[in-house]
Amino acid sequence: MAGAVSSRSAGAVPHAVMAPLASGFVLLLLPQLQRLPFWLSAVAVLTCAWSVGQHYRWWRPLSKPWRLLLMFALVVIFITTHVSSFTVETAAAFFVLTVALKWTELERPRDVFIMVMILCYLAAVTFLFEQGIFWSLAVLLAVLVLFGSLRSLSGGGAKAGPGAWRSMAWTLLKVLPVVVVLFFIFPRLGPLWSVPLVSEGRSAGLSESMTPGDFADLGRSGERAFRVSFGGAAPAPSQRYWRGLILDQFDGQTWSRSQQASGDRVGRVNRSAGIGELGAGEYEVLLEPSFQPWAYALGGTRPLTGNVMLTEHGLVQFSRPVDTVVRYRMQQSDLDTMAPVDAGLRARYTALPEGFNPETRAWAQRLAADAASDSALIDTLMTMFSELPFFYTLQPAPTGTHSVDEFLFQTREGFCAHYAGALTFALRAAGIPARVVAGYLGGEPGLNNDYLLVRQYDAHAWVEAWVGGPSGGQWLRLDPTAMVAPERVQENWRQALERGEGESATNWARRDYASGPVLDWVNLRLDAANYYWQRFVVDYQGDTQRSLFGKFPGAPSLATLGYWTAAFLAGVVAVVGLVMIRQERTRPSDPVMRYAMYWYRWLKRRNIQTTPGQTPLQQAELAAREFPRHRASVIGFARALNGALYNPESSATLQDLAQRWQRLKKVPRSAGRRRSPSRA
Amino acid sequence: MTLNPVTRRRRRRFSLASPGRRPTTFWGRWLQRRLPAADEVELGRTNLFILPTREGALFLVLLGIMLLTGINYQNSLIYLLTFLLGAFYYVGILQTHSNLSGIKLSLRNIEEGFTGSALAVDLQFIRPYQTDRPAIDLFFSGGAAHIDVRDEGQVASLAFIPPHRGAHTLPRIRIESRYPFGLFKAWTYLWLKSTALAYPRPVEPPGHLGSGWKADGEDSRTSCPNRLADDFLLRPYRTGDLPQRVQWKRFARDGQMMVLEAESRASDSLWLDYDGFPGVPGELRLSYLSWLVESCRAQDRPFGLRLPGAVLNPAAGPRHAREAQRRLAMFQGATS
Repeated sequence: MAGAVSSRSAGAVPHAVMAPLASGFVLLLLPQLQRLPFWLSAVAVLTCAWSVGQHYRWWRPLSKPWRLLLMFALVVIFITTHVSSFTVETAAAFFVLTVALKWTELERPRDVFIMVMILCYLAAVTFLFEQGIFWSLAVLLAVLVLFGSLRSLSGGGAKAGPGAWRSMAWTLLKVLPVVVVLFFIFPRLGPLWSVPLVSEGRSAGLSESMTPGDFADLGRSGERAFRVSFGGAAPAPSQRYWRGLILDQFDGQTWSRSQQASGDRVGRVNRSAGIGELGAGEYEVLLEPSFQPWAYALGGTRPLTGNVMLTEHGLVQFSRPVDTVVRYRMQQSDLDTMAPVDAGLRARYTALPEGFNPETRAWAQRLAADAASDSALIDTLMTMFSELPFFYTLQPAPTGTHSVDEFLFQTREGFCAHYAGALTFALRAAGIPARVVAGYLGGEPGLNNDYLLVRQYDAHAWVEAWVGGPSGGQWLRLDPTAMVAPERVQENWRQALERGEGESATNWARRDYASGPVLDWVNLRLDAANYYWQRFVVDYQGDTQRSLFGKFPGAPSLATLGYWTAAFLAGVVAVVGLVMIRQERTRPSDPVMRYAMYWYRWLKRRNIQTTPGQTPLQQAELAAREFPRHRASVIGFARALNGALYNPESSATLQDLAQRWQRLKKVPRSAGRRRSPSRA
Repeated sequence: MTLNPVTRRRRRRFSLASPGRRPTTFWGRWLQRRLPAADEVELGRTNLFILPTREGALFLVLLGIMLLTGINYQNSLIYLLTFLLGAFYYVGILQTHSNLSGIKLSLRNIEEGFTGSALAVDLQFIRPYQTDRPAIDLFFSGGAAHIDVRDEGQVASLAFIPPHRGAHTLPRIRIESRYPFGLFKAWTYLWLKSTALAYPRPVEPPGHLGSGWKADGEDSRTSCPNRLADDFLLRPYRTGDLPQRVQWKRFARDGQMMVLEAESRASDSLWLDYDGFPGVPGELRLSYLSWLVESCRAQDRPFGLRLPGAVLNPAAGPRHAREAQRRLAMFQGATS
């Protein structure tokens, strides 16, 4: 009788724990791989495998001195390789190292607990860097798996296997509504202190300088830069110039952003509606982390949301580098957002380094002398780009010291960076204030045309020139690339390349842009899922919450939301408590009474009318008439129940009742009714 | 599976009320009022306690840190993860509680036996509904047991080692479960109303004592050495005994006044007499008698037992032996 009792063997980790624990860890390691140094990932996988092996006694555990030595060695390696910078990113990598080391001493159940907890935190850390829907779901899955291992740890042997996972999934489904409500009403406080998330050196997308080679690299990347949804119709493809930053300084080789340009701020824009329907002329940008502070916007628009600032050049900026997916909203504006050129600015925008490109300089000055006006000169220059044999290519011949001279008069092949740089140089040489604008051009429609998807290969550079006299003037957008390769403007590079123009001979284009109708279809849908995930879940932060609840009567403040959260939680606890008390009351503790309760429920569900005072056997007769095919099991159960209820000497045991109940349960709910008319 | 090996520390920490004694502390009295002694108990809201385990408390700290991380980095997904883990934490409370709640627990049997040997205390678990109740742990000052209640009426055995003879109120039994996540422990204490009866520890009487009581010519290796003759039994002198019955020869030899008493019952039966061990402390006499009862039982010989103020008439068989042992166990007037 005491067979089920086993004495507790102290200190062993049950087998059932290892598989979920290890797989949870690997699942959490996957999103880290591209951020971690290779050796660290390898160490983590090895220690995990080592630990699993020693658990199954395939090999002996490491002795303590070896473990200490390993720990010491790895920490030293880590510190020497990461000594230069300490940011959250390196801290996260160090955290992975500690998890890896914890695997070497996974011996007791307590270690498993600690492991699960640090892995839960690793899941949170992962979210700092990865927020796409798929990695997010993978991380949540990993957390579920980890809780499965906890269940095995605390004696879940009873329900190991698929049943355990089904019950975990069921638990998840039950708590999900509460979690979702909590997610929306929990007040989003501002950051308590600020630690930079990533090291300074890291960046993606455009950089602060333009040496022609950089843009070619971007042109090869199919990664998302940002996505835009429009309140009204999207502008025509040829008008989709996303201005990012202004490069106004030339050192002979590289166009870069001058210090003066970076500090200019016009001021903050008041907070306004961050979510809700976009009005006409409004658009919303979902920017991928670029680790740079600048944002992208169409010319002549100003921000609606407070997280971005408008600078005097009509550019939009964040106050700190964008290390996570962010959203901002912009609005068409009649006001000219770009500062006019006064005397001071004129000097900045016509400055050229001495000793470079003498040929171009002389040529431009000659043209300027001949031209009737600035506009006529610009026309001449632009026409020249379309009429002379210029070629558009991503792999131009290299140029020397006088890069603009060589480009304009010898090689005549290049891409946007070359054309924009050359035109700006020529304009400045002719005395017209000009600057290079770096940003993106174009964007392909996402799923259902709901949004535009702008990728890194849409990176573009063009020119803005100041046309006007002393009384006034305006900035004019000039795109010499459009004169050379109009398809680059109308479509994007990828499409242009696919049509066999420009760079079609190079293989990397097709390989990197993953084309093909099926793949495109899948990509489009995946991207859309990601877009809505990021827009509505990842980006649900302070502003978004405020504006969502701003629509409620009384516009609750953060404190009110806090009260709501507390009240909601108290409500959940109260409701669950009441339900449990009710369940406890309605559950007869006597096992026989319990079967009696099952029996009445069974009758009721099958609509069998009974009157008070009938014995189970009498009721079974009624039921058997409805379910003639199941007569034996119905009568059998009723007889056993009758015996158990009224006859103390009855041989009916609980086990017998349980077996008969299992048989009774299989009787369909409506078999009798459906069958009887067909027989009649 | 072990999360929680029995440690001395834990047992000491919770010795609020030692059973059988009136608890002195406030909490001890409260606990005894709340969980009165019973042989049958249904676990439920009224008698189950639940608190986070050390790991559960640590987990709460972890949730706090995660929330702080989420706030600081304005990261929605960390919020989401924190809330999800928090929900699992809360579900853990309910599941751990309901793993024990509703179980009907009854004492099935307490073994009787000798002082110092382990006595089995059998507890039966009746689970309500068809649900498994895994990972239930029982702790007891004598040991621990682990049980997964999967079938109706599963039994767990605990071992109780009685420190001295007599009836023992059992130490309280702690019934605990940490299933499913080990973040919470639900527990209750069970004070059994029934007592465990411990017979005196059997001690073989030294040979020289026994040999002195035998009739002349009796083989000294007889298994029941208290026997004198078929029809007579030697017992110490009591005031009022006839002088001619006193064994004067023996008195001359070793100075003990023994009286020969006519045996009136079955000629084969023996009398085991408390007073047959003069000069021996009372508890030791009981131990000697216990040993004698055992050896008679083993040989299936009839015997009678005489204790001051009580007589058990001669008979044989295990039931008789148990009755004799019970009397020895419960005997009150043992002299020191």
